[in-house]
Amino acid sequence: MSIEIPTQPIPEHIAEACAWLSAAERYTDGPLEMRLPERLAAGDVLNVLLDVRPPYPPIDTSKPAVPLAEAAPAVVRALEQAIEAGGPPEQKLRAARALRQLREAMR
Amino acid sequence: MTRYEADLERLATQLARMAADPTVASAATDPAAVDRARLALRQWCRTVLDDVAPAQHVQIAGRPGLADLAHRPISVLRALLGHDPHPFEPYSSLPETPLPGEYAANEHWQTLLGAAEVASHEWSSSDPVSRPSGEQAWATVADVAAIAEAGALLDRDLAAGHPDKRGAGWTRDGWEIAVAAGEVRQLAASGPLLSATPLRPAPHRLKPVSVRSIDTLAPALASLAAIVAGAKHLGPGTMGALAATHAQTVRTLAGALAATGPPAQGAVRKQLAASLNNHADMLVNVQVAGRPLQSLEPDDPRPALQMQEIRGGLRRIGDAGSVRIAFRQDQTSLLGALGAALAFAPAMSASAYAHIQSGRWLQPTRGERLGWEKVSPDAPIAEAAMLVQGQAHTLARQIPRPRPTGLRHRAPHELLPRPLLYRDRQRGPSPLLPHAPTFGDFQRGP
Repeated sequence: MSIEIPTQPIPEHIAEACAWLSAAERYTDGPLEMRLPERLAAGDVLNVLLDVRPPYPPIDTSKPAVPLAEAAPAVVRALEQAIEAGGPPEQKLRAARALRQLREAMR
Repeated sequence: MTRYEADLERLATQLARMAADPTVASAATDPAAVDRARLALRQWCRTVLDDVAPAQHVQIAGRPGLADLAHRPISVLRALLGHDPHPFEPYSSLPETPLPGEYAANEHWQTLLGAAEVASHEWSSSDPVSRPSGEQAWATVADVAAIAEAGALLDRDLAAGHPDKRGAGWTRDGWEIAVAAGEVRQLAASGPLLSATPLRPAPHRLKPVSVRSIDTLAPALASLAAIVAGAKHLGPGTMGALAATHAQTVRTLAGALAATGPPAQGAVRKQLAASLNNHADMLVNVQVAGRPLQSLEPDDPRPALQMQEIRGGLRRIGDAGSVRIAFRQDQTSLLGALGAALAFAPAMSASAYAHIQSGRWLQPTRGERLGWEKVSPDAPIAEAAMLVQGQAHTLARQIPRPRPTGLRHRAPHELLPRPLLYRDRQRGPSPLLPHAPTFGDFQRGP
């Protein structure tokens, strides 16, 4: 029997950022000392973007897993667009917090 | 979209541009623009919060704590926003050459000032009847919280970028407002909590074990494992976030293990540290596996509070280097913390198993329309939790046991100086007795 959970549609730019972050979080190749901090950082940023009520539907996990360094430019682009595009204040500021966290992690 | 909504969006966009990059706000050198913008932002937050949620305000005596935040988040936020921001003093004497990004930063603050003043004016001149109230007010409270949180980030950027660290005193304000605003934002975004009071445990049970110094980390980590194991309900997302955040602590401890200790143990410690990092990596897999899952019940807030205390405590001790230095002096605490940290995975795994068995975690159904069904016992999250649990058991056996500390009970023979004992044994018959007693003396009787 299927259960209903209220969800809200995920905005286009946020969805794009989440898909790339998920790709980075799922990345399990490469040396552990390199990938672990990147996976942790990607997960943290993803948690910021997904911290909404009602929740978004499951995010796109179809992108192949890549290191965060490779996914980061696409995430930055998507989040910058999320800030500039129309949308509720909370959503813009959430995108800003996520972008800030990503920049700090990549420094 | 109303005029006020458009003004609010402009304010949020400008604030988001500045908050997205920690170097933007801090390069400012125009104290007048910076302070006026910060004040305008603070006043807007206060005014709107007072107008839409007056009934939520309860006077809080003294400095609000974590328990206040759990029970009266809006009051705590309002109390913290109650005073004006500390003035920004960029430099004792301005350098002759402009700093990189200075003009852009000043312009950003000017734009923010304009946007905050316009939004304030629009709000104040609106008909009070048209303002959101009751259920509708929650969305506005969420906006205020999000803006207060972003404003606090800018305050911290200003403090961090201050050349003579004069701003360090108000960094604390920034952290407190950010934490309170984050809590209010989550509460407000989830709508009214009708049965909030019965769901929350008593205040004393909300109190996490504090991490004041390195030797209090092990009890806090042990408390985390116990709280996770006994948590009434944790959603899969929360469980995953706890696992990934705990992975960061494990990583910190692994770094300290590899960098400290006797040189003779260097190779063994490095190998063990690598295994601990692998454990951390597998904890992240739990978060990945939990991403598509959902739950309908509210979370027990205690694990998150305890985790917050652990991460905050480690942050207060300092960066990874400072933590290593602290552990170098105190290997007992390091080994104790490692042992306690490895108790998390079994606790989490047991909790995940219980949640799956009781059908409280849901996974999306495969169909055209999004629906949800109970998570199956062989779901990826169950497998990830099992694997990390097994790994924790193996690792726990490899961690050297900490040496007993001074708190252990010591027998009198350990406390008394050895020469005294030897002296008594070697001493001849007591001078009070004419001769050394023999068995015959006792057998004869009086």
